Amino acid sequence: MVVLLSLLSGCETVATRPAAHRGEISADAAVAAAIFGPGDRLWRLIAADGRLYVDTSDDHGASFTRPVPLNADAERVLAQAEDRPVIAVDAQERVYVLYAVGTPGAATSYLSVSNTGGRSFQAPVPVSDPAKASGHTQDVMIVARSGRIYAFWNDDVHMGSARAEKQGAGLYFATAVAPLVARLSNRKLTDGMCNCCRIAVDVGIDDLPVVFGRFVFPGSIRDHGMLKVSPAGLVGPPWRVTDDDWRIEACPMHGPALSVAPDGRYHAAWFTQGRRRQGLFYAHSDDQGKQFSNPMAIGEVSKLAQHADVLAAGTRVVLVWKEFDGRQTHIMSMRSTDRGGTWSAPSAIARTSSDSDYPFLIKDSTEIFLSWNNAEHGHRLITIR
Amino acid sequence: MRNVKPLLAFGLVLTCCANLAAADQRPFKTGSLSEIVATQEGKPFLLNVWSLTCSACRAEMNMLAELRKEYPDFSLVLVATDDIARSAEVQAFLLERGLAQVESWMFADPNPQRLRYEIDSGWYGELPRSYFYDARHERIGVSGALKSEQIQAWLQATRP
Repeated sequence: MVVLLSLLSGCETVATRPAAHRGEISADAAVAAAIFGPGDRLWRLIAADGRLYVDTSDDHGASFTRPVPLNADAERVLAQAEDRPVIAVDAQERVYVLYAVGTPGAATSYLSVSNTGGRSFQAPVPVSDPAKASGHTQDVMIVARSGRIYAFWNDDVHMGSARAEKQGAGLYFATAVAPLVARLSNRKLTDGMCNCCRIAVDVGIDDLPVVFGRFVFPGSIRDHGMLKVSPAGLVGPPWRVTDDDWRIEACPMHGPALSVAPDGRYHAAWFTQGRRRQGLFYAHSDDQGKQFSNPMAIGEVSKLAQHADVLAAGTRVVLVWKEFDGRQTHIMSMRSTDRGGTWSAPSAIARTSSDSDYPFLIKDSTEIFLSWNNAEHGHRLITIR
Repeated sequence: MRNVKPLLAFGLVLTCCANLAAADQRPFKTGSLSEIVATQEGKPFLLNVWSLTCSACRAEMNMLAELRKEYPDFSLVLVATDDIARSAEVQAFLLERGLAQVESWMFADPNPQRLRYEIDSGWYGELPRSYFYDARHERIGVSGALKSEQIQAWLQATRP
């Protein structure tokens, strides 16, 4: 994604005046991730010419601080659709950025930490061993309520890219409690992860992370599975969640989404072109992901409905996804106020005729927002009511 | 989705090697598919859509290179969904596999979704994606890495 940096807007109108920092960061910059931290401070991770920057806003995007650089030199940071850097902020405003650098023969994930509330970042340190493929690590990271951080990524370091393609890559993780003192050790959790689809992760009500990802099941079936993780590693074996029967030897480049509600209900969204069903789907689970409700189709197949995100806050649940009508890309939304039981009709909440990123949902203490990049408007924050 | 710009040094290395290549990468824009199809008039051909970032595509490209040794007249057209800014990398990749002479296009539109839609309004962008065109240019689209036997069977079937 390459977009001009532009200012965020706290409501549905768009501010497109030039960003104050454009002189310092290349115009060829993109907001790779955005998240709210303590005090409803908005944190953005910006990728520009192989460097990463973090800026913040205390007024929902009306104004931003001067971007702070993370990595000293330009690197080949993987910052594209399924494979992007990630930012996490804990309750003490410690900031963690996980990102991957690809070279022609390897991809390595790095972690950079700020213990100064984002005013400065420690030099990034590798958290993964170099994978053999030059792309695809699908970094994800989450901070549990306890403050423990969990980082996950895909890796073919133990098997090579050819086998990873056929049988799936390994899912690795590293975990630590702040403040980080030594280099993190990493560990493989499972094999069989589709190596080109982003991974979804959220923390359950037991404060342990749940990972939802596309697996490669026997026969090149690329359906989804789940696994639960504690600081010691896997909690039981991974289990299969979707049974769409998508037999494909290809890169679907279409990872799922997961949000665990405060009541413990798992909300999941995913894409398939399987024999049993095709398109985008939503389902929820009340038994920690063992059984899910009947998949509900989302969006219009004729408009290539794709790249959904889901977010639960209280009893509210929001779904967003992309559609393309041949000329314009629309970000569509459906809303539920009863824990995903019933849903509003889909409505368009943003659109562009330019290139655009995936839609992401983020929340502050009271509201749910769409966070979306497109080349026409830059990065936008749109309240979803 | 375009990558952030590759490291400068990396680009230079590949540019130096790519100079050995014969054919240039052609910019795939609105209307390019019609151009390709018109050039192939009356002939069956295989349109292969791929990307540098797709590992299944890279493996498939090795198979296509082998097959072309066996069937030199096999009509193959490549379209990389990587932005044309990465042409040196694609050029080097094809050269390494002896595919530098194959007709090769690269996405060259600020909005790649528009190009994907023009290729196939029902395609979600999964790669590799192949289209078997017969002599009348009726086509069959396939997602996923092709098997050598699959293409050979098609070659036999479409031979005059």
